[in-house]
Amino acid sequence: MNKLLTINNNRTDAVKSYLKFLLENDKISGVFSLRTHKGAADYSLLTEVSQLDEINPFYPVMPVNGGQLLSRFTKLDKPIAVIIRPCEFRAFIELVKREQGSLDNFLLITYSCGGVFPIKENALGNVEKVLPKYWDSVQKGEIFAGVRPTCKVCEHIMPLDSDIYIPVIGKEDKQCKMYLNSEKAVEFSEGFDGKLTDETFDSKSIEPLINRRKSEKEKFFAEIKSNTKDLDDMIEIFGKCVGCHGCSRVCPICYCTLCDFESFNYDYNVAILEKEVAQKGALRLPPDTLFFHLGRLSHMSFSCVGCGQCTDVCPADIPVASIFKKIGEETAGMFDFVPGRSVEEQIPVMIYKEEEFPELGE
Amino acid sequence: MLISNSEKGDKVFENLELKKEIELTEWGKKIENIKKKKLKNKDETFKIIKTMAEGFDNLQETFSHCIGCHNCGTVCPICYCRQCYFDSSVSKPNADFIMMRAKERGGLSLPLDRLMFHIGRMSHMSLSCVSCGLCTDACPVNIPVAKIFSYVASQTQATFDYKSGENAGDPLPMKDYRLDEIGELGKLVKKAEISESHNE
Ligand code: SF4
Ligand code: SF4
Repeated sequence: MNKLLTINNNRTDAVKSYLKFLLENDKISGVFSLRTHKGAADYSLLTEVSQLDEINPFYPVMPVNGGQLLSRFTKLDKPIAVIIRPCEFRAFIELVKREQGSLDNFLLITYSCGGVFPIKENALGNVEKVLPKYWDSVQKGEIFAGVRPTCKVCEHIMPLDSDIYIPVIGKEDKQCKMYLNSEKAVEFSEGFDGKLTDETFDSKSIEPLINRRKSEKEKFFAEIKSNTKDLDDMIEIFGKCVGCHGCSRVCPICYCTLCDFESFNYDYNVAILEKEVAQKGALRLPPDTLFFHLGRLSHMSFSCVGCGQCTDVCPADIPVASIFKKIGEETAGMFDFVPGRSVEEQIPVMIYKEEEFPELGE
Repeated sequence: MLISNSEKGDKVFENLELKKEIELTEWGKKIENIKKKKLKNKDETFKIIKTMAEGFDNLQETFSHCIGCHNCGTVCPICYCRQCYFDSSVSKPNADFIMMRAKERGGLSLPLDRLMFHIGRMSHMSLSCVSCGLCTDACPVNIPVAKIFSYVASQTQATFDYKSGENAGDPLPMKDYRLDEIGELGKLVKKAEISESHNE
């Protein structure tokens, strides 16, 4: 393994030609990629070569976390070639661990990502205008000002364990290098007209950017008041929440068909409501808006990849993603766990170790 | 200013020993003026919205940025279902079905049925839409959902000569069966009945 496939063309066209080859030679049953049409971006599943022209896999907008969409696929006879961003790939890895998807279904292609714009910016037509500047800054290995707050501090720009990895950051868009990291990738690429050499990706080139993003992250986290042990902080942050649960519906990790907080368990009858009012003197409606977030944090924060979808959809402008990413790193950090790092790495809540947290045992 | 509109209200006023003021003409005039302005505004807005909401292609274009988050349905006061059909397991088909649909046209947009969700919602709740505007507030991609639904509601409600939220005693058109409603359809039914009786 660790082969390098070099295609002498710009990235988008190179990827198109590669996918065309796979589709025409019946190696895959379809292509899953971002596509743009009159400024609107959506994910698409394409089975016809003629439709490949519409794909725009590197367009810096994430309408839906692709990992969430991939988890909707039950067993396939023949895999689909998928091109998604690192945090979508990582979300999918977490979903696979949670038994919500299968890696066998896909040939997974990822790339180093410069960040995505908030979806509203694209709907307003603002992304197209700044695209040249964005790509210029990605090529220089900088952090572009307009991208999602969690993208600016994301250090996981390089998940090498996808089947195929394409370096984008710090590269000119004249040649496309595809690192084939799995036997599957090498096997699928057989017969493709491109230069194949033995080479592993040298991650040194993007280390400075990763370090910069890490230090930005420290600053960013320090600014967020989210002392989880202090309820007042949480009340202050989530006081504006209208209880729409939009944040969880777009969360790739929240896969439940019906959230507990939308179930009968939280239908309070008059007796319960009267009791609560009597206890507190007043009751905020809908009830349990904060409880919902605490519940969600306890269920998914280990697996939070910081994609930023939740912030984008919050009608109350709460920086949900920043807070969940910070708390997620705190909870996962206690177990030395990094979400989406490896499919072998089990989610801490799913394993039992007698010797962990001995203080608690005592 | 407090206005009592019911016997209950009258009683409260009596208990509070509030003097009832009868003269509302001035106030009424002001309200009529405001109403007139708003109606004019509505007509102008609906003229624009009509072109966005009528015809499949226009509707598709209007909702082209929709990410399928269903926020608009969740915050809608009329959408009371605990679990929307479009969030249920029925709307999460298996891979074979997704592939079949993709192959039919060579390509498929995901998540599935984003426009169908809106059409379904229109058919279920537009008769009761009160144009509160929450759906627009909750839409992360700035689609004027409320204006579109309000326009569609004005059409569906007019069809049945029904006004949402007006009178608790009015039966909802969907729940009220009348053989003679929507003339053309009624005629078709009658014609079919006659030809059937001839055949007998
Ligand atoms: S999207 Fe915002 S308002 Fe809605 S539940 Fe989440 S935090 Fe609250
Ligand atoms: S809130 Fe907006 S983006 Fe979400 S489903 Fe409704 S129209 Fe689509």
